[in-house]
Amino acid sequence: MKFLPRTLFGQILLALCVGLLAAQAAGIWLTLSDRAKFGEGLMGSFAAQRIAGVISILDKADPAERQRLVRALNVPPTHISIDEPWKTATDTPTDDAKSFIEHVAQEVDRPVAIQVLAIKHAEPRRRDDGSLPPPPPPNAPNQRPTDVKSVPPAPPPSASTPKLSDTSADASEPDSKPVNDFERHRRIRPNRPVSFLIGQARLDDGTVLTFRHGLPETTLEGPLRLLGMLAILGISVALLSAWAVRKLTQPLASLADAATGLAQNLEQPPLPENGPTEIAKAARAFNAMQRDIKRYLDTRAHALAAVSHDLRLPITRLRLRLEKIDEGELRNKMESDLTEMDQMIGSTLEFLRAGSTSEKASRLDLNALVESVTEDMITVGATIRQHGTVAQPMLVRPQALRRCLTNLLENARRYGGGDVDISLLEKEGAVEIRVDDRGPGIPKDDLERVFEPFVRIESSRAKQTGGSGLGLAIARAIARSHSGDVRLEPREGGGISAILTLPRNIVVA
Amino acid sequence: MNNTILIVDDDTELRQLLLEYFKERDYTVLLADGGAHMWEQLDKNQVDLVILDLMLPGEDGLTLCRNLRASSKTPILMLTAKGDEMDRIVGLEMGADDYLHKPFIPRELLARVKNILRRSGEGRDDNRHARALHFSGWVLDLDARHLIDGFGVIVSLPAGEFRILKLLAENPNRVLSRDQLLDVSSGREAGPFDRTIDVMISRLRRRLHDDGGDAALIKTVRSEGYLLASKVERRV
Repeated sequence: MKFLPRTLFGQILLALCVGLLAAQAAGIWLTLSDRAKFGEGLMGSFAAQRIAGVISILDKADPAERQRLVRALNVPPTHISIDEPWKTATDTPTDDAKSFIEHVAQEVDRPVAIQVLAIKHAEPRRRDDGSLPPPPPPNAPNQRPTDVKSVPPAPPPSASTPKLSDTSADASEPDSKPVNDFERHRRIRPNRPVSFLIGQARLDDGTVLTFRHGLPETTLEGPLRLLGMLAILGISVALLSAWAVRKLTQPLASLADAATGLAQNLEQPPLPENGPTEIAKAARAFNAMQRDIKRYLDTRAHALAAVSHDLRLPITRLRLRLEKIDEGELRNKMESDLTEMDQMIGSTLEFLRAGSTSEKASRLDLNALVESVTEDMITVGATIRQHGTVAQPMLVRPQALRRCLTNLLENARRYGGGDVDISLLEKEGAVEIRVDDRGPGIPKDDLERVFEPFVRIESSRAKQTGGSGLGLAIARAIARSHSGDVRLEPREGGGISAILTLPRNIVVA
Repeated sequence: MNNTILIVDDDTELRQLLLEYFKERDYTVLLADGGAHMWEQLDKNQVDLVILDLMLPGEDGLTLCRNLRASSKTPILMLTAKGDEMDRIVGLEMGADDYLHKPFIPRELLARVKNILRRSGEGRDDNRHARALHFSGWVLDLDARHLIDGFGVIVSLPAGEFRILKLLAENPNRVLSRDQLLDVSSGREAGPFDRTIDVMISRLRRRLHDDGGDAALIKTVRSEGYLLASKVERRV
């Protein structure tokens, strides 16, 4: 089952193609065999009429004239002779033979004794594989029930079987003509199937007429031609249905893409609501869902922003009021409390804004950015080693990306023991920036949770080092607005790797 | 001499607090709670500086700022509550001379006020904060605090290097001592063996594709310091 295509597109296409091809193959086969039967029937009646005609003519002629007439009538495709004795068919006649006999009897206006000794049907031959045995020599025609053990060519007159009824005065000369004729036939067209009918009839005076009628080959076409037709059909059916099925399944693929992209970017354009009814309905439902989620999140963001804004006025007032208090420890502590509040509001607003599009995208030298952020972080006391460079600038929102990187480095410095490695890596179609620390690490289950806003893992370390609990949330929101992402992984040998990926063919949302 | 400041804000408490703060520091302070009141005060008094809140009921701060700029050269300091990039940039485009986010630190406000008043006292035609310095195909963006090369690619700068380059570009073709540069870059005094500035200058040269030779952009003046050898254009 693993060879079956996994996609809906592939499966529908496969089913369609196989079904249509099977139907076509059956159709072609039926048509061809019908045609062949029809052709055989036609040829059979032609042979019967011809033989009946010969019998009627020879009936009326006197013996002397007969020899002359036999020579004159002995032309392809019918070879006749009156020299051979009557033979006894060993097997019961086949349907073909019966109908032939009936047919001849109808044409001749007297009862006539007639028998079919052999009907040899041509077998379709394959040209080169030799899997079919070569056709037997025509004088040893085969397989057919009406076959005679030893068909003429030249039965010596003395060897005539007792059953043969007599008057074979003329049967003095052996006549090997038919054999020669068939031999010639084979020599000229060695690859064409040969078919013929051998029979005997008694003329009204008892003379035995032996005839061999060469049936033209059956019209069943060679398998190559059939295969060619099937191939053309198959290709056109495959192309057409590929186009049609692609058109049908395309909206489904877009729906899947949209659902995947939703988590990253709520602002993505709505799906086109066209296509087959069911799919259009799904697209409409999806668009509605996207709108609802966006509205819901917007409302929450608005509320949070409003609170943050409103807090700014009291903080400003408090700061002005503090100016009236004499310098001292109390005032310093209150000032630093206010600064902390200010920063919390600042990062909340920054978080709410992180994915927004207010900043214009510009081309930026990532190497210089990493170097600058690293340099700034070293100034405030951290050991940071920088590795690697990337080629070519990228189109990004410079301030936002700087914030993103600063947050990652700040996190590593704060929780990671201050010993940090930052690496720039060129990946296929993307740039990766890794920030590796040697801190106590984060339990595996919390690796995703720390990206949620205001979530801090319950370790005493995190508590005492402070931080707004928004750093990673902001970093991820910024990365996602650049079609990238930030993820955390445990670092080999202890610590955490924060990995920022930015696709090269960036879609800045 | 006593400068007159007009404070336009809709919050009564804040107006009162600002009034007291500036009064203590020997400024004459006028108050207005909105647009109409502001025009009234401006008609009646000689005002040296307007501190204008962006978020005002009725006619908003941006509109007032634009109208005020159209009719007079009185310097304007915008107070923006949103802290949004857009407001800041739009505020400057509407003709404000400077801006400050709420919640500001009072000392910071005082410093800005002094700065604006000094610049307007010097009678500078272009009173406003330059937003970018252009030199030798480079642009130093003073708002975003980064460098932009001739192809428009942004080259980020560490804070210290930015401040050094800013000082150099604000004083083109003037020698600046290591002490002066160290002062802006980190606020420290340079010791006799302090190589910090030399390291930063060499990094800056690398970023500016400057080999330090004869055609150098940042020239070393032996035993004195450094200078930026270029014409610098201020753009607002």
